[in-house]
Amino acid sequence: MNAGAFSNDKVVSAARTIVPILVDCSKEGDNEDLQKKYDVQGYPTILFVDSQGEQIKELDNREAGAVKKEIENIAKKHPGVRPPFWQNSRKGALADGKLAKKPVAVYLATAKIDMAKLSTKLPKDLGDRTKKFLFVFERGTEQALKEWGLEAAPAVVVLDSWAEDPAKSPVARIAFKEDDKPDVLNKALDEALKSLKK
Amino acid sequence: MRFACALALIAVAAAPVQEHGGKVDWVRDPEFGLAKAAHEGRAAMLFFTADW
Repeated sequence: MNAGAFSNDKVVSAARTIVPILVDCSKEGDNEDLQKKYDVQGYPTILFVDSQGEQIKELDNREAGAVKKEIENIAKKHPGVRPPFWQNSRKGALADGKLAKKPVAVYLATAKIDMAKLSTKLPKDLGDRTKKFLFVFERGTEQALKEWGLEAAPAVVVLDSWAEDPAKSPVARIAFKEDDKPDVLNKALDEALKSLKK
Repeated sequence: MRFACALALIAVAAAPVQEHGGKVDWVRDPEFGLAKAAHEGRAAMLFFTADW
């Protein structure tokens, strides 16, 4: 494989038009369902799937130019029905947040979260806060909650994108219950924004 | 010599994607990534890799 393809600036830019997902199969049993579903025979294997998870094609030519073209062709046929709400990763969000001058809000979800329901409801509840923060989805595992100094999920941790080490000193740790009214989270996010402007 | 070249090729092919694909903002939670793609109505690129 041309390992450099995914470091190529044009490929990186094209990858923003689709959802690039890294499926780490390093440990035995990791992502076994996905490997079985797509009949993965070796590594690396790169596949394109549509929004319903149906395979479109496997990436054959892994030269940067070919990868870029393939992504563009597929993105053209699957342009999306709504703008992204969730960022791809905390690292990416912090980098973008620094450029866009926006803080990052890490949403720590409960174990049995209904992703589709959350992705529909949360942006509606947040209102224009969706434009003031970059939102990242993370699992509220026991380890994650401990690292953030939180007792339970759901919770939101607000990070200052311009801080030297944003995760080290979060701007706010917002705990709430799933059945709380949106105001609970919204007011706390507003306070976090105010404290950042000081 | 050929064996050394073959070994080198295998080493590169098996190298972690982080070393070579560090710039793409990968979603590292496949379940979330596929749900994100479904919600946005967009295609996804699944990069199956193993760090051995």
